[in-house]
Amino acid sequence: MSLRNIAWFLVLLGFVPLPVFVSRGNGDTGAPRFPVASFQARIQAALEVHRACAQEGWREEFDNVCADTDIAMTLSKNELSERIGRCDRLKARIEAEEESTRKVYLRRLQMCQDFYLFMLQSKPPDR
Amino acid sequence: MPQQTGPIALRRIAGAAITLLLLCPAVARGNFPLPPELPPELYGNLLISRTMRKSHVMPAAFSHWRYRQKYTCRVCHSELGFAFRANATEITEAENKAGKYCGACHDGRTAFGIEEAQCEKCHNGELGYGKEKFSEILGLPVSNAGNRVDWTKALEEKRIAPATFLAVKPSTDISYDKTLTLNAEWVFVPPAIFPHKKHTAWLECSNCHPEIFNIRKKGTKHFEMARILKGEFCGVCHLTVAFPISECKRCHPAMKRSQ
Repeated sequence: MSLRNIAWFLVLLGFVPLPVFVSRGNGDTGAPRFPVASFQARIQAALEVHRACAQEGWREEFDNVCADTDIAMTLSKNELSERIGRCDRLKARIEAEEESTRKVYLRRLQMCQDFYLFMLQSKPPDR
Repeated sequence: MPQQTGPIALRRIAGAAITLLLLCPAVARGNFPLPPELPPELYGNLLISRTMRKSHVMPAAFSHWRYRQKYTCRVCHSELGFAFRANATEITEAENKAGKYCGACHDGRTAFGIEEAQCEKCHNGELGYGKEKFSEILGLPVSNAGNRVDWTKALEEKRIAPATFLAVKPSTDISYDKTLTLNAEWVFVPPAIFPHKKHTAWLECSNCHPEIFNIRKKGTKHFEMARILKGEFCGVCHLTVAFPISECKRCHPAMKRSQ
């Protein structure tokens, strides 16, 4: 997890104070004060952490799956099929990313998946 | 005229066959329109100009010989996602600044950054930009064509030590080292050999399979010279960056002559 994400995480947990903009209720009626902005900021922090973790998750998974193309010839049919399935699942996650990430990583993922498929189809049939 | 028979006729036929055999590689070569030979410092150079016309920016010059001393092909053509075909990848300034493509190294730390003062270092529109640095590689093992450098030998002799990755370390060195022997289309041309090991030293398996070489589909018989010369198969690299096609003997080692 990067420093930025750790910072967001601390904010989320309330360890780092945020400037509180209190939505003033009607003082005359004695309505309770509710720190709307602070609450929103913490929700936003939670979403940010979730997004960052999800992104790092797919990058790690991407690196793990695609680093194995070099040993693809030693993988069994089951192992190759498993990696093809992981590529499929990753594809859906990368498609949710911003455009340039999609452009770079979908192409790389396609190369990697095509190669596993190629190796799988090149394997002699099981007896 | 009486017909010759016996040992004299046999000797003549054998002589003609041997002459034909010796001439065939040269004849074969004459039948293939090889691309014009470039000066060594221009071989492997290209201008990246995909979006330049629209944005009124000079094309960016790129010399493979400058980069391949430091990085293997896989770093750019796999890890960074550059397609093999020039200008097939859309590279934008925003992406470079976000650390993608050229920006993966040109970040002001590993290499000069993408700043206004540096623009002309790449966007100069000169194919031969930086040729004065070509003398730096003149000490490397010599070859007859291309950059006049035997890059494979330079790597094997550890005269250069290009990085094999930036961030994503391959799980292991590729152990597959099978050398393929491919019969030539012409009966008298000796077979071509394909050593996987020499290629995996620079590339990743997925760089070539299945996009360039899908041997599962049709086998290897359709790897014809005419198609290679159009930029397919071996021609993807061996017309532009890797040793040129005119180096017949490097693929067809049993050839008597390669001129």
